[in-house]
Amino acid sequence: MSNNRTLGAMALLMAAVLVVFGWGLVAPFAYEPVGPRAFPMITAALIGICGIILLIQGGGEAEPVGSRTLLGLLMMAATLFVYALVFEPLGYVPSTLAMSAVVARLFGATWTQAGISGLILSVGSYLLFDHGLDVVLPAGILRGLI
Amino acid sequence: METLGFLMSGFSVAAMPMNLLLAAIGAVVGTMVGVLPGLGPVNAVAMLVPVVFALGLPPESSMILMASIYIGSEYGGRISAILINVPGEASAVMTALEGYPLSRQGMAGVALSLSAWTSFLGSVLATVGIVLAAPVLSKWALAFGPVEYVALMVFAFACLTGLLADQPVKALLAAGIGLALATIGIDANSGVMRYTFDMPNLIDGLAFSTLVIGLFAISELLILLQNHHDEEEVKMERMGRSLFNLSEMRFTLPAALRGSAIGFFIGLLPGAGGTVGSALAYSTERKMAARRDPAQNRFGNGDLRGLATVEAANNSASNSNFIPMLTLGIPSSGTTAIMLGVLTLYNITPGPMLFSSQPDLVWGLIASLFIGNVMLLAMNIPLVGVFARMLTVPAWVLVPFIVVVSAVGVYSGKSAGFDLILMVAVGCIAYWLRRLHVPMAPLILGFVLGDILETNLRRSLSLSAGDVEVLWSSWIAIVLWAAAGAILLVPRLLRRLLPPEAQLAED
Repeated sequence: MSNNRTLGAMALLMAAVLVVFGWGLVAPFAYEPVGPRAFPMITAALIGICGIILLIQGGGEAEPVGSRTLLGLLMMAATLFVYALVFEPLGYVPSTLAMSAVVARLFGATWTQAGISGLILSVGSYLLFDHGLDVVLPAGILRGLI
Repeated sequence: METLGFLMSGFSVAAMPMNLLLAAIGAVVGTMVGVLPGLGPVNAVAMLVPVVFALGLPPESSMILMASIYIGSEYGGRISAILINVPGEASAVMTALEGYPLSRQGMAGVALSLSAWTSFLGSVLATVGIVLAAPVLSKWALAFGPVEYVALMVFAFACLTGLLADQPVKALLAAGIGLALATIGIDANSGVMRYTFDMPNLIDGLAFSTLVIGLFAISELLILLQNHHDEEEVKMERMGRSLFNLSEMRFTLPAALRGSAIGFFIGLLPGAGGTVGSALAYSTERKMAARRDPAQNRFGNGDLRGLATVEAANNSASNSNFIPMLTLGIPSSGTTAIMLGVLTLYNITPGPMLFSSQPDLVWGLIASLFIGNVMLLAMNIPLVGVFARMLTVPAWVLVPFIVVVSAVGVYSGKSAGFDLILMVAVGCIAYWLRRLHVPMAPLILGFVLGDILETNLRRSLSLSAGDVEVLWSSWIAIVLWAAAGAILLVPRLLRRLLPPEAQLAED
């Protein structure tokens, strides 16, 4: 599924997005011969040309991954997205603990290893960054406790 | 003489206790990330971008920290290449060719100490080269106006796509994506919002740290997972005799010196760093040994000269990489591109003015390269066993740790959950692009240079009232345009013209 053709198609799509959303970029008062539109159009042309070449060329099939690896990759991506979403509302320590445990499992840790390393990592890094290095991290649901 | 004075003042900057401490931390961290297969200087430096701001470091200290991580990882990469035949980072691929057979023969200790020494030799010689060449080049570069700048940047992109990538189209595409991402946000000249899609978080453009961490750290984790095979036991060879002797040193010195020279000149070219330099040095040495010295030719089965030249070239190239970065503002690797991006975050415009406007920064950085290399040599010979232990840290400890450092770094910049989501999205897209062999270095170079390129292009055309012929109106510009064209076309022509056997020998 992933090959030069898909890459070329995505590149053309990106070029199209650049053109569609960039065509109206005109400065209300033009002081200079080249306005804010020209450069995005040049990059769109560059990306578009590369896309066309890749579409014609074809081939370049990415080495296939097994279904187990693919599932792992999807789980990893999903975990990271969920982590990004709950980082602020849930707070740093609980979200990091959960993320760390799931990721450790994906990389072959046992539940005990994943739990202990997640606990050490989440609490330890919170103390280090928030209290030690003055990086303000969201306390979330544990507000008042830590 | 003038140079010597500047260098001395550079040493006084680099020798300040905090900068010494940062150089030492950088050397340790650099060696550690170099040892770990998969993690390289790019990932480490990318994760550090927000950290240096959170710590409130002055620009010269950030540069010193990042530079010592960069050179440290070149020292570290050789350790895993020699001990377990897995290059710790890209430019150590050639090191494994001679280094691993040596350690199979019980010579791991000799291979490690000898390669530490030639790494040091290559690095220091290249740094001397920076001291001699950079001020001259930067004076020459002062003649550059906007027109020459546009041509120079096109030349840099051509180098990156023509020399580095096996598929130039994909490298060009990556550069285009980087340039396009750089246009997001408010246009400084006209105040027009470009591609912000009414999202307040995008008015300032994409945050540099969010982009680099997504591109390099997050996508790397997905690649690590893809290549992860359930906890293979890391098998390490015995160390054996731990230090090389004088006759081994004398035997390999000419090879190391040749490697340093090759690495130095290759490192000057944008896009061609340690990987190309070490490959070229290796093939040169291999051919020389086969022709002149067939009796002692052990290439392929653990030849000390092959190991020595590769490590000298690789480190020499990483150091001479700083010359185009400091004098022209053209980074030649992913890591130096990130360092340059960090400079722009400090409101320092990279380019030929850097030597006159920021002497402390430039010379402090150069001096710290000397200091960092001495530290690295001193650490790498006795402590090699400690660093090698890094290889036994399981991935399930390491990966969550990297996610945490990345997320905290990105979050600390703007305290916005938006950037975290952006980081993950960038990471997933970057992973897909990397699986399709789209290189990341041109992308980040495009992002870093995008603004400067556009500003200079518009300035040139303002000067000529819109006439595009101005772009090739000076000799310097014409030469650069021609060179850019040649770099893009010549390798393809050569591939057509040369018989297939000659191509095999090139590899």
